[in-house]
Amino acid sequence: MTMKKRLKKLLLATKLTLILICFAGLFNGFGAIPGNVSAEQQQTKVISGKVTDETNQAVPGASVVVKGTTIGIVTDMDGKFSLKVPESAKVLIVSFVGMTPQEITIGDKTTFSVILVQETIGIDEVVAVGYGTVRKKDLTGSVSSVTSAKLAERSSFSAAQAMQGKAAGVVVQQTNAAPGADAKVMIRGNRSLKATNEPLYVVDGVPLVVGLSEISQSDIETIDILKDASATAIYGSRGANGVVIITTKKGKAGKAVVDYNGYYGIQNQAKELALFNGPEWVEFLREAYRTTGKYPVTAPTYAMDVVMLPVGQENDLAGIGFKIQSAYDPDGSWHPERLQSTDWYGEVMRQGQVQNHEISVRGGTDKLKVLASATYYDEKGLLKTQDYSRYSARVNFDWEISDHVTIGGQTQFSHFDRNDGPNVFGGVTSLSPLANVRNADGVLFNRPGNDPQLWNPVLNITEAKILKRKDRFLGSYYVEAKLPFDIKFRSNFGLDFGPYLDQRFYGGRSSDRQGGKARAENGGDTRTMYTWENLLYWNKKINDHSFGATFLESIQQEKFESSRINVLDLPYETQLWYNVGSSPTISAVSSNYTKWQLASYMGRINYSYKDKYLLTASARYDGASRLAPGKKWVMFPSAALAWRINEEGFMKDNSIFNNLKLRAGYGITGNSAIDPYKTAGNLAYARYNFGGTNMMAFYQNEMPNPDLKWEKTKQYNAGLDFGIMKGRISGVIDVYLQNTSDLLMDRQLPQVSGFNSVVYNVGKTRNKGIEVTINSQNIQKPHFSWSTDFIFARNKEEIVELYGGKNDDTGNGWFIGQPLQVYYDYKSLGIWQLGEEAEMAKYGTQFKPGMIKVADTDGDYKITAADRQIIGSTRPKFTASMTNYITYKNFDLNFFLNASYGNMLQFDRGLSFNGRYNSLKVNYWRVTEYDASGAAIASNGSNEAPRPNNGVENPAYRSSMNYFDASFLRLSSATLGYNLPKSILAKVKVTKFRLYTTVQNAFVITNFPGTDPESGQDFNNPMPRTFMFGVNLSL
Amino acid sequence: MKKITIYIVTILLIFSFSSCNDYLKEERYTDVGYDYFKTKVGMEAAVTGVYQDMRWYTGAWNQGGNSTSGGNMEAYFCLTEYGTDFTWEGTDGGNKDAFNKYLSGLNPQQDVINKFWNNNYKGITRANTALMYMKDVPDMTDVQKTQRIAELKFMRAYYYYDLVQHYGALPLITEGNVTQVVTDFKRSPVSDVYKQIISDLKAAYAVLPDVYQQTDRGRATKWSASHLLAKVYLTRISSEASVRGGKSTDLDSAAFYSEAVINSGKFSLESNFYNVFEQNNQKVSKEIIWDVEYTKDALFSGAGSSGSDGGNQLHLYWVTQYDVKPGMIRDIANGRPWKRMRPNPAIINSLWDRKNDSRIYKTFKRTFICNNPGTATKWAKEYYYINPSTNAEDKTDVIYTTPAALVGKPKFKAGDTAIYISPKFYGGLSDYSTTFPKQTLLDKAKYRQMLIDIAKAPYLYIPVDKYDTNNFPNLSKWLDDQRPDINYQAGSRNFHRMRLAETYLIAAEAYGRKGDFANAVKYINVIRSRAAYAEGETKPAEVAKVDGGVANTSSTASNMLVTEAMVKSPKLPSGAGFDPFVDFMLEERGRELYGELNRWEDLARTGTLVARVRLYNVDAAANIKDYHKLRPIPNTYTDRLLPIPAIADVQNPGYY
Repeated sequence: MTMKKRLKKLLLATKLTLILICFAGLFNGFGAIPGNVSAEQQQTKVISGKVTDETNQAVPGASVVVKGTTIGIVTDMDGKFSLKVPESAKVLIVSFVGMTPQEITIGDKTTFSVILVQETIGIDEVVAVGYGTVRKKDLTGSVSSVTSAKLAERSSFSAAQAMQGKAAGVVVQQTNAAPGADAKVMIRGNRSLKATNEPLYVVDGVPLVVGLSEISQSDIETIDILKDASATAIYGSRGANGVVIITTKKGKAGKAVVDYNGYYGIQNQAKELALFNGPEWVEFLREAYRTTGKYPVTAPTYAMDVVMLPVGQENDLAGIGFKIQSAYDPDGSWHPERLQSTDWYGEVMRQGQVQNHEISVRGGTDKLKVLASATYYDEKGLLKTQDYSRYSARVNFDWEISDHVTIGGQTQFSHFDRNDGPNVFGGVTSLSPLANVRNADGVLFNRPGNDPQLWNPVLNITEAKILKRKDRFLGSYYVEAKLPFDIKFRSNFGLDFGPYLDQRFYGGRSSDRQGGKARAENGGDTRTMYTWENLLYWNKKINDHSFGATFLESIQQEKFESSRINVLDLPYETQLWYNVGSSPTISAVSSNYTKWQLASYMGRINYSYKDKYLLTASARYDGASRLAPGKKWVMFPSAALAWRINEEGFMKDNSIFNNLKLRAGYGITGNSAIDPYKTAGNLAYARYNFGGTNMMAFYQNEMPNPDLKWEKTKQYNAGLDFGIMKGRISGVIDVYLQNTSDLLMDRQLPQVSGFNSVVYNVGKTRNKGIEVTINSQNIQKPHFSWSTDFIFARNKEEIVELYGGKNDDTGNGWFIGQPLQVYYDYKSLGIWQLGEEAEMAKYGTQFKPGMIKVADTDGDYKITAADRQIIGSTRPKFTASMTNYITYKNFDLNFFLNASYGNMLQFDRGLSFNGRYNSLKVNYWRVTEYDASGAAIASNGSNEAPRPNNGVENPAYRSSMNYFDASFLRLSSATLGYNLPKSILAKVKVTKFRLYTTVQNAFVITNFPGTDPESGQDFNNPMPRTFMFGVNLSL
Repeated sequence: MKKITIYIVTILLIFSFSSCNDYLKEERYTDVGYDYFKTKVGMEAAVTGVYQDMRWYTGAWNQGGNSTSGGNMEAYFCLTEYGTDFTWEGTDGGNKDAFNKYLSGLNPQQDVINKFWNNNYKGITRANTALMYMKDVPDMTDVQKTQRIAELKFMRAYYYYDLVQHYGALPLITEGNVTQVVTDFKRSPVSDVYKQIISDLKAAYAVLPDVYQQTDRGRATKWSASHLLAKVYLTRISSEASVRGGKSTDLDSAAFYSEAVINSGKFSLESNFYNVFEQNNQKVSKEIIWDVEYTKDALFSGAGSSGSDGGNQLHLYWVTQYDVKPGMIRDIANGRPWKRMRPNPAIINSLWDRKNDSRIYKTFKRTFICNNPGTATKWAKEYYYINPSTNAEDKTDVIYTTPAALVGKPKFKAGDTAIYISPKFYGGLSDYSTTFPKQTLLDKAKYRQMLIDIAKAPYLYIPVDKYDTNNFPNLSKWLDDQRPDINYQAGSRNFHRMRLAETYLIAAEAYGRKGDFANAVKYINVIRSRAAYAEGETKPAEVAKVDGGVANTSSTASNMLVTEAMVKSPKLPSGAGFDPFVDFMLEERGRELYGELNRWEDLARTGTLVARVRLYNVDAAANIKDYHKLRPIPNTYTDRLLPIPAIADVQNPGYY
């Protein structure tokens, strides 16, 4: 075949067939590179031995391979092996999952006794650094690694949750506790005002654009978290928030290993907020009416009580009025203890249930390695309206199709159903505790307690449905070829495809419709993302010099399409949303399309001299469709140095450090904060009607800004890795400084200008911090071990500059020198008390005892906007966590403590002050004593909440009382496990059988008054406490 | 060697993606850019967008783009009805304290203050943008362009006029801009704003057509421009003429432009006051000069996903709490009882001449017919005296004994009256303003008679003495019984903004202020004659039973006529600075235009706001200050100005 002919063919082919043809060429062309001699041509000998663990238990299924060849075998049930090897064989590699592989020199020996030790986080580990891996000891950047062994210590819903407390500088917050809601991940603080502050997730080489909650924890082999810019800059325009690289498990040569992990758990509400009960509520109402002089200050009477109750009550014999009446004796004395309160919480809550089952099989030959897994997760939420279930199936394979070519792939399909349910808490927290849920026949009331504003929330459980469903296909495929001159070529193709449905039905008796006709919404979207990367690797060692080079070219595209239709007046409710065409009224229709592309080149060089001095330098050149022509391409460089001090001669004899490495790095990263189509500006539409003629209206919506560019973060990082006492104590300390510039903001404009805001590159932020990780092997005895991981991180986040230079942006709550999210409001000084009348009078007639008192910062005796101040920030001053691992014989125990200090959280206590609705039980200000003329002379002196006032729904400066310290210490999880002894397991041919029990969110110590210091901003999603029982089984 | 060449070529090919610049091209389908305004269809849509912004006034979440300044719901009535003389607050709704009571919530951070400002500037900048692109539209004729330009100017003037009345001095923007970030706005004096409004309206008046085909009804006409011009001139001279730039000729101009409308021959008063707000009449009535248009088509009414977002939501706010009463359940015709506002009970007792003026019964609904007989009240055996200060029944004092045959039977059945909100006032108590049982008994006999009448009534009987924040005569003007569903909020009523009756009142006021009371009375009497019961018209039963009138079907027109002496005679306390004629006009406007969202502006315009609110509004009287005649400038505006201005330059006095 002539060159010409072949070239012509190549040019005609598509890119993918081109690769295949290319590799066909490689098969033919390079199939027989010299140096590969088959075993049969050589003399052989037989060697044998036994593999045991540290406790002298046999290790069955361990792999024993002659180094540099494919000759190998797997140990039997007794840990024994026997293998025919060539005379020339020099070294054996013995390995087993979860244990540190050993290399054993063969020499003249023919019998071997190998002791494998449990793998711990060590310097020989390999970590993913993006487009490749390096040995941990060769790292120059700041990278935290979480292995599957660490992940398995506790059960988590998702990869994000699994990372909690595992890596310094990585804050994982469960801000929403609804079933199926994932945690929020933040690495080294926040730097962007507009764009996401979530890291970039890369799963098996595919940079994802949407979250990863569909990936099961047990499918994950490692999570590597790139934190500093020298590490993340190779992801260029998306590296600013750090990069989380997730590698899923692969097949391993050897007999098939079947793993099953499963648990079942029950969930209860960790903290239930107390509302007023019946008698307390009635008293609360009376106080509200007394405030306006409408309730006598003397003993209560039924005739007066009845006037404050919702109108119409007299018809309801079982209703509030009747209940209150029955609490009065004929002589008029009041007996609140007779009032039975309705537990509205109890009506909508239940015990939650969670179960998870994951089964995987992995194995293969030395040429073809396969993993197949299936998982099922199901959660019945604490709220009766909410549940979530997810299943997924995965096939991963790696196939050496020739000595030089490997192909492989990871494929996952997942599906979830999430029942979001309509809100029930509005009613639950407002309804009178004396209102009845249902009538004597068990039929639910529409408006319990007869208040026209409050619909029965219990009806929402059955009369409405909000269902979200998502399918997701996630695939990553590669071919890898070894080429001459120590060059390796790799091509990756990744695909993320997911249709999503969001469908809603509100029946006539739901609170959305309140007795009207049912309505439905039917919408959904499809997201298709692909990425294609081609890589060249070159590694060469010349004497003391090691060289490595990586070159990448990649393209990525995401396409998103959605459509939706909402209809009113469903003719029959049984259809839910499945026949919207039958409805006479379309109330909304929409569709949308967005697409963006990214093209990139990246080069990286690694150099090391004598394994002592390490250098990494990289540059990435990103081109983005969403930037305006002429501004599309941006360069992101980085460089890092490391010095392995313990390799120096002068350190050779030291008995303290077994590892000591100093690192320093610098890099520039970006944040893809600009949504597609932001540079060109756009119009929006609305509808109007002239004299019966329908007309479309278009109007200015977004201002064009062709000058938009990426946010850029310049980051300096210095780190120290150390191991002392033969690795008994090891640790990492990093300090960093990040300067973010060209900050993208929705710059708020006066509407007078025609626009309310414009996306703009202005402003600077800074993050600086320190991260410390310490691993300590406290005790290492054959039957007893105890180790501790301790993590501490402190980050200071601040705004350095805004579009007004050094001027604050009060409108957005952005202040120079302050973190990105602060609370800016009036400062509460508690409640105005009796006896302070003279001070109050200086403000005119505005204040009375029992009202909220706020700081008059400028002392002008006028409360104006100028008196607002920064109250606090949601950012913690530091976070810390500690995990302890204890094993005793076959028992293992680990517990994970997590703490956050100095963060503030807003919590509107759902207080209702006008004496109508129920409220969170607070110690409100109230008068305790009146004089003969009815004037207040003593109060309870409360500073927690104002006096209720029948005439005022929203007391002035109410929000000033909503800020609370949310520092906490949480026992996030504690697990006790028991491994059945190997002696028993061997008889039933089981490799591992572990039973465990876990409690999640065991307790939290905090002063925060809401449901939870992480998710407690409202009542809607109470944080569960989960008790689980689980099994780990390996065959 | 050859193989290596193949390898190199192949790798190079793989790495050479097709031209990156092609790959990085933005593919845009969903959005359309500003060039759309350079087409005829785009320009028509731009003009429509300026009208569409008016729908914010009646309450719609989705008006105009971003959420921060989008949603309205309960905004405009707070600005125009709360905190006035004739309207008091009802039970629900979150803006009562700020707007009705003038408490500290009325400050630059107040949301309604911000939304109203933003909405009207949105309308203004939409108009400016359309004007800017007009010259670039190739496929419109000059005639078409001229007309659309005039419409845009009319709308711009409308938005500015509403703004200037509430906020005073304003940044005056008349140029389009969609590319530059501008943040250094300055306030123009009030007089300049009025000049601009008048100049725009005159330009519109000069070229706009008299009238449109039905399919274009709702667009500005020569006569809507003329009506507004008359009102603007009248405003400029009504008070604070030096600030507003009022000229001595303004009253003549007001008279001229209002009479131009009256004499145009294009409009006529509905013969029956009731028909002005008859829903089926709204798109054809000859009394209507200019409306914000609505439709029953859910998509084009902006009904939103749940039918609760857009449309005309005025039907919600004045409805009394009928639906939890015995024998009643919520239905479409009676509406949703949001009870945000109620008529001042003192006013409703005395403002209208109830024997002769039909408007009071055509403005308020008083009777609710039983639609839920299962919950009807049953006759008790005996009814007792109730102690007004403790609300307790005195079982020793039986005030009414039910005939034995009725005891235990329902008071009424389906189709009977279940609730009657009577105009009758017994006057037994010291105060009927509060929501609570009366503390002081003034006249036990009157009070006792009321209790007896209540006990005897075969329905829920609510006399004036029993009016409160939940129970009050129900404004019927905006009720919308054509909604498809009992909870549907996106009503389809047109929002009447200009009608001929007001034009007459403008003309009358202009003449009266000039001292030409003959002409003033002439126009007032046109309105009052129409307000009378017509010959042959059956009067409501109350007229004879409660009001002291006669139960016949003869016309009351002659009794309704006023004389020059009558419009000049003082009614309010002397020495308080009340002008008797202005006072009369304000009352007549109240009688005619009650609940049509213009009261606050009328009071502010005439400089009577503070005095009248102190006199009439119990909730606000203690709090209102002189500076409340202007609203605060929203913080979202002042905070975003750069360079940062001195607060006194951007904020109205009293608010900083």
